[in-house]
Amino acid sequence: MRKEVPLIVTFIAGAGIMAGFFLQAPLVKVSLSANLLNWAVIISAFALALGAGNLTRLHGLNLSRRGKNWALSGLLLLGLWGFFLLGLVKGPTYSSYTYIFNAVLVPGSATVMALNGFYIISACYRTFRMRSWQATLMVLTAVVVALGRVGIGQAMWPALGPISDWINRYPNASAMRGIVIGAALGTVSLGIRVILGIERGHLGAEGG
Amino acid sequence: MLNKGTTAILVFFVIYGLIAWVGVRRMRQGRHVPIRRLPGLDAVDEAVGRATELGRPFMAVVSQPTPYMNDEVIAGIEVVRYAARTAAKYEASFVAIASGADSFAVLQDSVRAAFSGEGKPDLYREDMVRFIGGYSMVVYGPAVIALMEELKIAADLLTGYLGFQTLMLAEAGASLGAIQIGATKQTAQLPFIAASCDYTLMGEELYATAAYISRDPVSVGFLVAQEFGKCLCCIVVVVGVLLSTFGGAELIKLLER
Repeated sequence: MRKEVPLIVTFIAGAGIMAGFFLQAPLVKVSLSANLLNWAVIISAFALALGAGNLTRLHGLNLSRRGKNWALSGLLLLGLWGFFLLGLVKGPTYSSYTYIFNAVLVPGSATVMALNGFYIISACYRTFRMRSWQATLMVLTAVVVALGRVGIGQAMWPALGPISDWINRYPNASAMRGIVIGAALGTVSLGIRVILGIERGHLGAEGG
Repeated sequence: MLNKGTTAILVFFVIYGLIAWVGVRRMRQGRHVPIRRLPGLDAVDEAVGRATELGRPFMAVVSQPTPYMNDEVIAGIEVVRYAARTAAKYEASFVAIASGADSFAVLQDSVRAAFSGEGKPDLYREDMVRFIGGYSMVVYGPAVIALMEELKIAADLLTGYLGFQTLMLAEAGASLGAIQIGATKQTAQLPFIAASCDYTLMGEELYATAAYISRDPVSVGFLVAQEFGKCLCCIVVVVGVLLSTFGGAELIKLLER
C-alpha cells in the first residue's frame, strides 16, 4: 500500500487536472481541477514546515555547539521564527511586519539582483575567447547586440539598433523556439510517465 | 464537449501516446536504439571522481522557486539521484541543496536511497541534504554561494528551475575551480550556463536522463516518442510556413479549433 497509494493519488490528481484543461464539464473543471490546484498550494505550505525544521535543527546545533559562524546561525533563527511569530500573532498586514519586509527583504533582493550585472561581465571575460570562427562569430554578435541595445551604440552607428533587433527577433528566437519545442516534448513525456506511475522520481526513495 | 482550442492538443496527445506505446513495445521486444552521447551526464562521473581525488564535496543544487515541484525539478532530481549514486560508489563527499520544501523532502529520500542502494547507508548523513532559502531566489543564491565557499566544493551540478541566480552560483563555482554541470530548459538561463559551466544539459537532454542512464525499455520508448514528436512538429512548422507564405490560413484555423 505504501507504493500504491501515492501512485493512485498522482494518477487521480494528474488525470483530473488534464481533464479540467480539455473538458468543458463544470464538475471536472471547477470541482476537481480547481480544487486539486488549491490543495497542492496548501500541501506545499505544510511542506515548508519540513524545510523550516531542517534549518532549525542544523543552525540550532551550530548555535548550541558554538560552531563556525554560530552568531549568524542565531541571527537566522531569530529572523526565521521572530518574523513567523510576528506574522502569526499580529497578522501579515501589521505595520511592523510589512515594514520589516519592505525595509529588509525588498532592498536586499534589489541589491542581489543588481550584482548580476557584474557577474555577467566576469562570465563574459572568462568565456569569450576567439579561438575558432564560431567563437569569433559569437563574440561579434554579442558586441553588436549589446551595443545595439544602448544609446551610445546607436549614436555610434544608427543601424546597430535594427540589426540587434533583427538578430533577436529571427535567428535567436527561432533557435530558442526549437529548444522550447524539444523541452516541451520532454515535459509531455515526463508528465505522461508520472501520471501513469512509470516515473516515480517525485516519490523519493520509491523512484530509485 | 471540449474546450475551445484544445482539440488539436488532444489529437497530438493521442498520437504521441500511440507512438510511445509502439516505441515501448518495440524496445521490450529487444530492439536496440542508439542514444547519442550526453556529455553533461558523462561529466557527472568525472566530477564526482575529481571530488573524491581532492577530498572536497560534490554539491548538487536543485532550484525550485515555486511552491510545487514542476517538471524541471523532477527531472533535475533524477540527475541528482544519479550523482548521489555515483558519489556513494566512489565514497565522495556529497551535499544536495533544495530551495523548495517539496523538493527537499524528495531529495532527502532520494539521496538516502541512493546511498543505501550502493550498499553504503552508513555514509549517508542527515546534513547531506539542506533546505536553503525557500522560494526566494535572492535569498537562496547568496546562501548557496556562501556554502560553496565554506565547503570549497570540487564540483557542482546546477539543476531544477534555474533563475537569475544561476550566473552568480556558476561564477562562484568557477572562482573555486570547480567542475560545473548546468542542467535546465529555461531559455533565458541557457546562455549563462553555456558561458559559465563546463558541461550543460539543455532542454530535452534534461529529460533524457532516465533513458540514458538506465536504458530500460519504457524510458527509451518514450525517448523515441519524443524524437518522433519533434519530427511531427517540424513537418507542421514547414507546412504551416508554406501555407502562410502562399496565402492559406487553413492550418492555423485547424490548430485553433
